[in-house]
Amino acid sequence: MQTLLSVANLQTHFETPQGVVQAVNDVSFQLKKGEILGIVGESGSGKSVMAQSLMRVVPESNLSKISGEVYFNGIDLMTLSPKQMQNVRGSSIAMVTQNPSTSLNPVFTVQDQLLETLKFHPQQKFKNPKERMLQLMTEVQLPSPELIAKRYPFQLSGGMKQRISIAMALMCEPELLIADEPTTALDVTIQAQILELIKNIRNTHGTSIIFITHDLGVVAQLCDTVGVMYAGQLVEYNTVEEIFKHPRHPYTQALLASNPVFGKKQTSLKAMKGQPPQLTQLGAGCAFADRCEQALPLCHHTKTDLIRLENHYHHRCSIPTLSGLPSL
Amino acid sequence: MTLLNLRSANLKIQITLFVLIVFVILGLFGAWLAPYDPTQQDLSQALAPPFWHAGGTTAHLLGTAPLGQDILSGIMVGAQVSLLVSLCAVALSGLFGVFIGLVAGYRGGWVDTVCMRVADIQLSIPFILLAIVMIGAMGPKLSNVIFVIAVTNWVTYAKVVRTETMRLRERDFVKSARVSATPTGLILLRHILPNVINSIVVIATLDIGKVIIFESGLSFLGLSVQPPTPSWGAMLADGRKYISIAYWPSMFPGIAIFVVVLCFNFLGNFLRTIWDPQSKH
Amino acid sequence: MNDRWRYLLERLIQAAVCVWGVSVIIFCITHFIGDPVQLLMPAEASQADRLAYQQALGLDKSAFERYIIFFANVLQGDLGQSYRFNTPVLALIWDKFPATFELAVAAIVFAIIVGVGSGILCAIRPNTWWDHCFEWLSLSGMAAPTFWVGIMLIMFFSVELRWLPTSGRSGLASLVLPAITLGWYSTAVISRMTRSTLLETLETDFIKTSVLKGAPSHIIIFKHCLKFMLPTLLTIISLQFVTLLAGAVITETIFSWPGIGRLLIQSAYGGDYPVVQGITVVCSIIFVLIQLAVDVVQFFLDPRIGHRQ
Repeated sequence: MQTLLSVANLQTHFETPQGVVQAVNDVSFQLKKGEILGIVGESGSGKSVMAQSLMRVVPESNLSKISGEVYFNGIDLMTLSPKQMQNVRGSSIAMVTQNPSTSLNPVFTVQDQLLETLKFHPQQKFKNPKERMLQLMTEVQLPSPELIAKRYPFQLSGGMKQRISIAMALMCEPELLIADEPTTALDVTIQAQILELIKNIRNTHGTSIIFITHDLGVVAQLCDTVGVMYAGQLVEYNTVEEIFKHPRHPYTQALLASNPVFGKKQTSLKAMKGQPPQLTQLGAGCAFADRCEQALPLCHHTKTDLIRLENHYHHRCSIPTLSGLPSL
Repeated sequence: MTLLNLRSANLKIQITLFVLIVFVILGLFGAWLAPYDPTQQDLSQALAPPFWHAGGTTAHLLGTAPLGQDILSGIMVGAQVSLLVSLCAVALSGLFGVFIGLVAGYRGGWVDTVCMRVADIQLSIPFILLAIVMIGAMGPKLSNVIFVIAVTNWVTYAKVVRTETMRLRERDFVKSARVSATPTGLILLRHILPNVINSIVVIATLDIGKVIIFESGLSFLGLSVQPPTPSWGAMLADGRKYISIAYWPSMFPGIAIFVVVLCFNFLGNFLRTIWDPQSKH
Repeated sequence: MNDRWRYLLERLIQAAVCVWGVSVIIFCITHFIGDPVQLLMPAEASQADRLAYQQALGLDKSAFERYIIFFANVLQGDLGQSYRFNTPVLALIWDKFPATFELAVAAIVFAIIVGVGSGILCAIRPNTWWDHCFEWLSLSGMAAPTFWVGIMLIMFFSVELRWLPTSGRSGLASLVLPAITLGWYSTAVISRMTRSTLLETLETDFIKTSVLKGAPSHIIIFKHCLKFMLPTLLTIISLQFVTLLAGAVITETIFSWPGIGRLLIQSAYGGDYPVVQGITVVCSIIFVLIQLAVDVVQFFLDPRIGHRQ
């Protein structure tokens, strides 16, 4: 299977009056064609900023810096000019965001917004743009596509708007779809439908997907590989089976332990003590050390090691033997 | 705000407050501080230029007007009219507008509808036309000018206070006061008013500048205080006929208006930024 | 669709109520604050004429009846007779109106081009030196009284540089200074509001979506943002236009521009109250109609207006 996306040492820093925020701190992973990667983490762990950094839509100014390498089909996106990157967005890589109610322009019809994507990328020659639009609207399970196409976003429900956002992302047959918490703002029943939809997209079109969420349950259903983010770092990255059966990082272990298991009688949920750290006050040591039940004194001031496994999978810890596997 | 902005903002505010304090002092004591009586004519010194030009003397620092009156004195004493009219008119229109806004916003229903309709109708008549019609009917006097401006200016206060009141009415602390049978007046005074006062002060500060311009516009047109009482607008009108030979009778009173209004605007914007944490831009 | 047409009807009724309300206010000012006979008759009128006028006004009748007479007259276009020119007021207004309209249109066009243009420029590159420059200019623009600006402009461009005429209406060159004077304040307001509205719009989620779709910057600003901002901008511009019509009074006086504003002032000086009153009534009605027209345009521009959520 070909590698579609190869991210190496991605870093995104923001300068704020309170200090430097290391929103994305040395993140590396790979994505094959047709693979679904889940990125899990709490609010503030840097998952959205990482996705925005891949697309280079983080506001670029003197106060923000992105560095690292993002190879997409062999080309480093970080070296592209703004115009070239603009061509990539929406055509080769597309993104669906979190808030369906505010992501669509209220003064244009659904049709206008969908067809526009094709106009911005004339290199994708579709014989009949309107046909393509209706076909995609059917694929995302929108009822009466022709009627809905003429509507304005405020006339539609949240679930419908999210489907339209997905259809919009798919207009130019992207090779990579990034979905940033697409179901967080929706009802649970709609959530299930959207997840099903996303799986079908991969199955029908072979699109690679990066699915960002805070919900482990979704990850278990949907993803092939998983990256766990904490305080801007990818603390564990492995296949979905390994993550759930043999979690190696104490944070992953704690996350799994704090989730209720269906069918198992538990008297209380095991909550993680403490709070996620302030991103401006990260010390030299492991960011999770304060909350880690297996921490040793050295964890607080030794930089974490990258413990590599096969296939670019890895996790970070100051104590290599914790994983049971020696570092390679 | 970055550090650089903060420091320059500080300087701006200091200068602004200094200018405004000078304005108030002149408004109150101008008649005693001025070097000359601004109505005193001296035809031998008519249209003398400011002291930095040839032919100018330090006796008349900013030059003289067409009939020899000292311009600097005119500006100093003219501040009185501007200060008086703006403070009184803003105070009156503010009080009336806030009252209407509180009542309309709190009561809602037909009281609110009627008040807002009246406000809309009043807004339909351009201020200057209304002013001219009213002054035409009542005669050009200082008290009439204050009355006219007050009567036309209340709407902004009413609308803002009404919106705020409607928002606050639904808050829990107000609801609990109602449930405990607190009389309406007390609720409005103790609970709602303190929360709207910030917005009112910001609007009033910006309004003072607006009213100073209104009043000087009216006196420019000869519809405000009549001569011999000096006012900045009237000085500009006097000097206008001579602009081809003398710029100073028109320029300096205009600069006075401009600087004072600019400072009030700065102050109002500054107050708005420190009191409303949401305004980023 | 019924919902939306109902909104339009409500607006129409509101406008009619406003027009009626204006007539009430003007009536009250003339008849209760001032003495109508003294105001509406020339100073030299004889006692007999005054008595006749008193009867015509129905001053012996109740206030309500007098108001009906007044309102009926207004609706028929009878705004009284100017005693300086001895012609019907409405005819006078009709004669002078084009000049004022020309000036107001020139001023608002200037204000829109410079105001919206500078606002957009400042919003796409905020906090640069020219953004701060425009900010100062705008603040100054809002603090400088119209009459002072006019006089300064005349002094500089007409007297010193002799590029433009000092007064009168005589072709395009004579329109420049008055239009800039009249439009100065509005330019500043429009510039600031465009800048802040555009900055807010650029922060919205749907513009972020546009970026993610790969839209080029000029489409994002001039299509996506602008269409969204259009209702807000239109409201601001129409409010300014309406302020302009009023500010024309001072500008026309300074530049001796033969429009309604100048007519108003001359009538005020000359004690020709019927003209003063007539102009006020006509201008207010025009105001209301312009607001109504703008609301109708907004209604068609923004699909959300009038919908009951």
